[in-house]
Amino acid sequence: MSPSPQSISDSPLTEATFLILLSLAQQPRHGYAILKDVASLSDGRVTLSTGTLYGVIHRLLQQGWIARLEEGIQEDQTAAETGRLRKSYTLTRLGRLALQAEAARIQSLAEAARLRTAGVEP
Amino acid sequence: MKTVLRLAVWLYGGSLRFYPPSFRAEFGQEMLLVFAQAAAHSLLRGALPFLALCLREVLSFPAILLSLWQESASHFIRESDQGRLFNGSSEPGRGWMSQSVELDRKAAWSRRSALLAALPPLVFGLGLSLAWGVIGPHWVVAPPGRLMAGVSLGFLAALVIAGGALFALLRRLPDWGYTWVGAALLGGMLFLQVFAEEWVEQGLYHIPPFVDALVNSAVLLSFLTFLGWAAWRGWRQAGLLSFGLATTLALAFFHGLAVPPINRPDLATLAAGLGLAFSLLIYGYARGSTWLPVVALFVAGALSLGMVWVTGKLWANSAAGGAAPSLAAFGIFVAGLLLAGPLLGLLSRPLRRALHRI
Repeated sequence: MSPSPQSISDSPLTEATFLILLSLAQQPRHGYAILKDVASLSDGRVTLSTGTLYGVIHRLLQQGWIARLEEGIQEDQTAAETGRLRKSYTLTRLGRLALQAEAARIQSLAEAARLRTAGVEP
Repeated sequence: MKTVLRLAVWLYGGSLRFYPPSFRAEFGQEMLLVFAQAAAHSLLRGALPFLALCLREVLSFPAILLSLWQESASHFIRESDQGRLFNGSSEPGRGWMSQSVELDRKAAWSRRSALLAALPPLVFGLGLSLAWGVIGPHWVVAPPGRLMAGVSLGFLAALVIAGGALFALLRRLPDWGYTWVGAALLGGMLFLQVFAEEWVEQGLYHIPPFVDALVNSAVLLSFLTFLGWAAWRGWRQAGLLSFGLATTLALAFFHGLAVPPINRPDLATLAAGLGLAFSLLIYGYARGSTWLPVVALFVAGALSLGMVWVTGKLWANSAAGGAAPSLAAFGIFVAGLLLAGPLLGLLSRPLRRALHRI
């Protein structure tokens, strides 16, 4: 039986977690690309520190919501000198379900807010 | 701008040491790379974005550390409860802790590392030999120019060792750096002592007892810190620190042949050969697998004790006979210095093996 979005994410995600999952929803990204995309997604309001980013990545990997991809030698000079493999992260099926669940929760809250501010009882 | 970036990346790299070993092993290099990229781009945008980035890292640091260490501690407790911590069933990680365990296992270091590690006694010995070679047999009556040139050569060797140690520390103490740090620590201590004694003898300064105690405590603390740090990295690293300390002390003691009451600078010029012998032993210690490090330690100890014995004997036979320093105490001290590192490194191994599984 496949897990339902509700069973995956019972409690709300933190903003950083949500934005990182959202950033990976479109395509796999490496650390720095996630940082830039999160800033762009939030109109520059959320700028993650490297520590926060990898703290969240560490937890998401443990939960199986994201997976690591090895992409080969990095293009930039610093990494080419060291010959390090560029590591990218991709959203897993479980992660996508969690993201959908969170998006649905936010959507339902936003809908309730819209109705209440418009003076309509939901 | 490049210097600022390098400094920031260096500091960030240093801060990674505070993360739990398993986390650092998994993400450390990647985090460093991402930080370097982010810092380089923010610097291109100006000083303020760069400062904001640094501030963000600093402010988020404690909370992340707390949560990661909390998680690490609960993992440790779970592992202990399941009895997996000490029976070796867990797969070792790739953290600094496991790296140090691997370094212990590693049969030999690269030629380059071993060669670099072996250099300090040769540099020091060569400096002493050249110094006394230039000054000549009668230093009291040597022309000031020769005296100055000789002393400068000795100081140059000391400066090279101090510079090497500083460079090693700036490079976060690579394997070859331990001998340099050991030699510089001991050299610095001797320099401080000689300088202070000269001052007191010439009546320029009287060292209050509390200053004396303070300096002694600081020196002892720095010795213990480096020894503990090296032992934590492995017996080979700690042994190299010991080699640096003991060989510098033995060569400095041997150099005493050239000055009153013995006055045999011709014998002191043998320091280069003795330094070379120490360097070869260090090279063997760093490169050898099982028996060679033990033999190297044993021979280095015997050579150091031999040097102390010869110097002591000549001292006793000199005009000031009877005023020789306590040979036995000095010999025990040198041997202790030489053995302290490898023994501490070996003793800390079970603890490191246990902790690297966290």
